[in-house]
Amino acid sequence: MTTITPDLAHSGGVPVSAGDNYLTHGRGIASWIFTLDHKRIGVMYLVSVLSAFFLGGIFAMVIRTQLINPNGAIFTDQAHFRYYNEMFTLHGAVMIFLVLIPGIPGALGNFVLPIMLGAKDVAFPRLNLGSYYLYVSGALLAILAIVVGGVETGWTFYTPYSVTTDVDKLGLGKHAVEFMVFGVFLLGFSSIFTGMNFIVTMHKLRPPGMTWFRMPLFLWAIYATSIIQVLATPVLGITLLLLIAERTLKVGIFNPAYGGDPVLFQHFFWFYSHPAVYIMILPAMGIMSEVIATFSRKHIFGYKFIALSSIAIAIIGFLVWGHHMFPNGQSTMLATIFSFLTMAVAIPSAIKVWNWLATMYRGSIDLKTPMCYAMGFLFLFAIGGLTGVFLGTLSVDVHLHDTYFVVAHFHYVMFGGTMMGFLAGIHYWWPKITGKMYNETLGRIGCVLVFIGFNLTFFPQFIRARTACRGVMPRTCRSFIRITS
Amino acid sequence: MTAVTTSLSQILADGGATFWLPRNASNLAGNVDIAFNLLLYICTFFFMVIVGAMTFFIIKYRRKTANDETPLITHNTPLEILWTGIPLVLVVVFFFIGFNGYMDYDTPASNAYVIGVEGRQWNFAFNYPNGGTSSELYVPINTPVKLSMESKDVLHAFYVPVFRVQRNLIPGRTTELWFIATKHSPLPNPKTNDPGGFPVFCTQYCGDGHSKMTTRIHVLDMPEFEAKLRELANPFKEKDPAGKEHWVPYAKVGQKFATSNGCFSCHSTDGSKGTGPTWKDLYKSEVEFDACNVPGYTLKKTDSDEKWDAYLRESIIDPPAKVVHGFTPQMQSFASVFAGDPGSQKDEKLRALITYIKSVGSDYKAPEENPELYDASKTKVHPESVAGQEEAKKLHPPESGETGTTQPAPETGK
Repeated sequence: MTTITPDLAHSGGVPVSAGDNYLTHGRGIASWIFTLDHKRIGVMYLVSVLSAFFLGGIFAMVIRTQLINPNGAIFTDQAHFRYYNEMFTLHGAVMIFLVLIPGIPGALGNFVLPIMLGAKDVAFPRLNLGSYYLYVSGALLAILAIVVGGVETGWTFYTPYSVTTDVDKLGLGKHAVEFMVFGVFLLGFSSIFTGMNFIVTMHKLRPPGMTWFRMPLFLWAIYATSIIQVLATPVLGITLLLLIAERTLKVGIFNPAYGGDPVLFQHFFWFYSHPAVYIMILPAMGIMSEVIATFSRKHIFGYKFIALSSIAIAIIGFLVWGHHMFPNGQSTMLATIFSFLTMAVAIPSAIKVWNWLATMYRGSIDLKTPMCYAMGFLFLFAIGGLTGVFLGTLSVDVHLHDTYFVVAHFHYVMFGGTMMGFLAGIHYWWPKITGKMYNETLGRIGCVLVFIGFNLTFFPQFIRARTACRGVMPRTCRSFIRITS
Repeated sequence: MTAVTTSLSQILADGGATFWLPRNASNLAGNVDIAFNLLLYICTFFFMVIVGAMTFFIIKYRRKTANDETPLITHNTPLEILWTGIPLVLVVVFFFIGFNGYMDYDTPASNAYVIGVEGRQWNFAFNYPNGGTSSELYVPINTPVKLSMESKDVLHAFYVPVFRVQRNLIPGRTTELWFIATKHSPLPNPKTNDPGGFPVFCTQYCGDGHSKMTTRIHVLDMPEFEAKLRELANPFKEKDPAGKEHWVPYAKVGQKFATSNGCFSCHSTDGSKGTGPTWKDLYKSEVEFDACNVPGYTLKKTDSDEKWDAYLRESIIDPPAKVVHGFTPQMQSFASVFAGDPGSQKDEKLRALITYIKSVGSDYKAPEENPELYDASKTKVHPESVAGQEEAKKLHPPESGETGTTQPAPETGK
């Protein structure tokens, strides 16, 4: 054990007492909002992301309540279906851009990355704070968009619908979609800056002796995530700017009415948004590697395979975006290549799962709350991952494309994977972040409730595909009602 | 619980459907079902292995004392190769099965019967080679059919679950979807309000009416299909049960066109507010405009029949020209369906539609039902058509302004 000597340069010349820590060191609101401390920025991210998660959850509750009966429980006629469409658009946009993408890297990554690495802070603390404020600005613009008109383009902003639709609630002009799209653009830059910061930190601030293959697996996951953030997100940024240009200047890029091509938008969009699901899931996989090893009291099994499978996912993940477009007017050749590569990306994910299981073998397994969440992850991610193989199979996708099967698959991966991992991480590092232990009983009860509730909500959606329910509509399928009533 | 089991058994009994898939009714469905079921078995097996191992380990290796010792196992390369190799082989197999099915789906039979599909917010319109149009699709059984599809506004998709096929409709492009229907579709049953046919959905989110953008496919034997085509090609004539042909009044023909062109997905006839203004009592009402191509243009109760006709005509051919207060210019032009020279079939269709729109309200008096007048064996042309009215004028000079309501109106706003 090394003794920690108070660092006068970093504490602003104030002597650091034994009971002093990052939470008590500076006081007042200014010491938080202008902080350059990665730990405080991490906590601010955590609070913001969880608030956004609450907001996105409210939107989800409105969606599910509307679908309680086949004619719609809240919005009952076409004039009001628009509000339902706004709800699922906002649910998607908030959950993806404000929760899943910045969640683990922004909150937990910021907090533990320098600590795990052995660095004093991230490489660019000011940029780190800047990226947090870009996140906040993006979120505020999204809220502004809701207030001035509401956005009902779907979170994918598919053209030409997103070029032509708009509402003007306040009489300020029809700019809601532009606000929203620009908000997402800012969020994209927040993501790029975070990724860049982490990459530089891991390259330049590793202390002597911390070689690449000695880094904790969470850092490998964050590293792979950051590569995707830095390389893929600019494409989304450019695409969104082009969309704004098309709406305001009427130049023809994506809208055929102006001479553009709507399929081009889909290619650009998914070139980012498919790798983006790996931005969301990889950090959660990193948490899994930490939590399972810790609570099995075992060395992680296959360290190098897990570390390199993260990099493999990051690389192959760039080359599979076309599987979102098998029946959407993409050429046969492209569809074939994308299907094959999609199959290939299943392999590194499978490698991780086998290695986690092998880590548990002959361990001393303690089902503390983080481990409960990790086991929930394994169960749900197994379903999410395996149903992904259905969708990667070309002919099967032609049947399942854009149905509830996809909605179920996506939620099993994103909630069952990313959010379960995030929750595991929050509990795992909670004592480190707050200095207090959570209540173990309540933590476990919470985990069981989340697990059961999630399955009750989303498993039936796999069957709804059988009754040919489409993913996005304000009225439920009558044939499904027969099961539930 | 009994309710659940009964409904599950109902679902399973639903014409060959399984728990996971709807019934299948096309040449392309076989591959999808085989691939889906194979995936289902193999993935269920792997899921059992993962969750089984997890559960077993949690129980067997649960922490017994606070100081449990565990062995140091870091890796095992043969094991890694094994569990990389087996899934790799399996996914390559799935890829090839899926690829085979996709090539069938993507390669239409060269002798396929081509039917045109137009997607609009929010309906499908089908155009048959003989000029007939319909809002529900009719196809012959055991015959390759190719849909040549285009969208008139935003992205749509044409999805037939029982055929296991879907394809997007893309504005500015023509996409194709083909299949051979192998089973008869259920017949319509007016008693239970069952529309018959197999369901078709738009699966690409396309705006407020997306959930209503559905239609049916009716799979018919070839002779029935041909009879249906003849009926669709001439909506102005009908045969009564005795086999006698008669002309259909314009208001009724117009209602057919309104249905087949999806007008009702935005315009109601009961006064309820939709995406577009209701047609109930629209004719000869007071209309306010948010945007108008003619400065100072007004439209009032007291305006002439001609002015009203011209307005309705323009609103169908060039919808954004005049935007009614409180609505947004969302409607696409229907010029390709309805714009034609006076007396042409397209123009007669438009006049029939306008006649129908006028009939949805209290101020309109329909021409008296006169079986003689509509007897197709006696009059060669439709009595309400331009030619029919010319003829009628020659025989009986006009007595009142009643016939004026169906006079062709001059083209305006062009």
